[in-house]
Amino acid sequence: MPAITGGPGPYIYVCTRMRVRKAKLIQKDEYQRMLNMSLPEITRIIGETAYKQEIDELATSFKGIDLIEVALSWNLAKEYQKILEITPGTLKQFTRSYLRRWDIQNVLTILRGKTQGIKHGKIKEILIPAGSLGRAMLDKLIAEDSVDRIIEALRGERMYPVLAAKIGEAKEIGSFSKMENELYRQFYADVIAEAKSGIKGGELYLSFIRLDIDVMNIKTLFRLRADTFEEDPHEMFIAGGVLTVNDFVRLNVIKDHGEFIDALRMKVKQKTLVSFLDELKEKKKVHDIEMSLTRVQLDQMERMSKLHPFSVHPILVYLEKKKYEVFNLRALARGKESKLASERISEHLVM
Amino acid sequence: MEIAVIGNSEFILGFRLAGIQKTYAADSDEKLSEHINKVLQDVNVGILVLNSKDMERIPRRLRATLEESVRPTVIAIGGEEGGLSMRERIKRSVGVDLWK
Amino acid sequence: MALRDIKPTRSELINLKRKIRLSERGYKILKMKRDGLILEFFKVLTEAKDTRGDLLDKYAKAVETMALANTVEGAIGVKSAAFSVAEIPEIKLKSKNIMGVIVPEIESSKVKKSLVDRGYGVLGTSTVIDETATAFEELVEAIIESAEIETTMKRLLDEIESTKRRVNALEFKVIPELTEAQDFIKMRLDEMEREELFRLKKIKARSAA
Repeated sequence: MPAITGGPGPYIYVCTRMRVRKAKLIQKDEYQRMLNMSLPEITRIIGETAYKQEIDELATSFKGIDLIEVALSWNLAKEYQKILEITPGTLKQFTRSYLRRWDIQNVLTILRGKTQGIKHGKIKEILIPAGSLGRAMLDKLIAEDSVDRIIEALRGERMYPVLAAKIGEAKEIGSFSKMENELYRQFYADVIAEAKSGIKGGELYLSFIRLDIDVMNIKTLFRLRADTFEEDPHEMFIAGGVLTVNDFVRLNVIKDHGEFIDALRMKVKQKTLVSFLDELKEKKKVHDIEMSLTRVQLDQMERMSKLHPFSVHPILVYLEKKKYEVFNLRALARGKESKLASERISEHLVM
Repeated sequence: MEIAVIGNSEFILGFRLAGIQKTYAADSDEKLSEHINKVLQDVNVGILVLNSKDMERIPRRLRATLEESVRPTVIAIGGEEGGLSMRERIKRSVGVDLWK
Repeated sequence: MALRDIKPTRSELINLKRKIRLSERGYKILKMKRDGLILEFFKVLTEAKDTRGDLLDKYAKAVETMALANTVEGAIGVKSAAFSVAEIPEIKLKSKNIMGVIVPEIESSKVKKSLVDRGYGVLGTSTVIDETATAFEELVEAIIESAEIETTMKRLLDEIESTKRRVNALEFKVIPELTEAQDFIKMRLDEMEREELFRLKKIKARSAA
């Protein structure tokens, strides 16, 4: 394992490892083949590849489709932890901060599960310990007996200030949704602050995050459009991307689809996003838009990582691609189980 | 008053998403009857939603209680079953098969 | 009413006549009520069929979007979104009166929610969750509507059945029995009259002899 120092050596090492790992991910033609398979065949393939160990480990506690899903999540968590181990120096710091997003999901799942009286085991099943809070810490949180104790146990963690500030309101309105949005906003703010703090390689990290923020904001705008209610979008806006909060609010009130696309196009400078928007002149379903945005984002990330082969980019791209492999396999399995048509499933694969 | 939903965990999941709190997972026959009896006692439940498939698994006497119950009103979904018991009732009361 | 229990008196006959008139009037009124109820029931029936159909459609759609959500977000994602505590749809049971039948009127607080009011955060989820939540909110609305209308139907059917039973009882039991008793008394009275006449004639003949 390389020493945790800067310098080009370890960078080259880890980035090459990422390329190797990335090459091992399931390719498009394999997905195409899997689309025509039955669920048992897909299960067998998953059980014989990278996910074998998890499938074997969990086979005693889970069955069928749940086994697949939990195994996929555990594998994802394990893979992420492994990447963190082999990543050196500042890259490790960036990678770790990037993965904190999973902490938000896990902590919220625990909070929600606890307030609804869900059994500990059930909550545990649906956690994906891919962030900085490891399995042991999450177990400890599940064992706490009140929301306040859970939050207290998180004192010192990055999410603590937002949790402490927002829990009162969340309890009052009986929903964690505002808190959840705020946690993600804070997550991005933290990541940006870190990228801008002058650490070597921060600039490249920043460009990656900005793309992510832009895509998130655009997705949110489309979702808000699909919703029939008028609502205050402030709490769903993520700062740090190309859109300002004013742009965001103004775009949200444009009723006409064509006008909205034009206005958004004026703001977004990033070339791939612009050409993506050009294709949206015709109205599409929101989740189709969402899926194609994800694909556009991944392509763009890939391009960026080729431009900067020895930066944080190849690592982050691998993290994302691995995540989508897990998503895809899950979609294949779940989709087959629900007897969705292959074409229907394929619409939801990120290939 | 509230709406209550009883069924397997998959059946009740979506109702949770729609904001319904009184959802009870019943993956075995005993649990099913147990939850139904509990809900029937609950004065705060105005409507009870069940899966038609589960309706068939309920002991006959309890099912009859459910079919006649007005408060809570019992709605079975997920098949023709809800329509069927209504159809029988109409035939009995009016003498003509009017449903469908 | 067994015939042998009847006292063949004139006052009993008058009583019976009154009872028959009353029963016949009741019979007519109940028959009208039954027909009225059936008419009312027909109105509700069309509506009930529509709401049932609607309910089935909504359920099919909800199940489909759920399958899709499971596909895209995985059961894990859907479950954690569904753990969210959100505003609970509240229903209020009121009642209204259709031809003397008390039927419920269900009022509900709004079931459909905006993105902000749903229990999950927008930034941590994807659109399929919105679609699934919307589909289930619509399903819940359809359920509330069906609950009202199906209960109304049940109540109306109950009332129709009991009215029908009463009509039948009057038509095939009460009125025929009363008429039979009336006929019996009439016959007995006639017979008694004839006996009386005969006796009188006999006495007259004897006294003339």
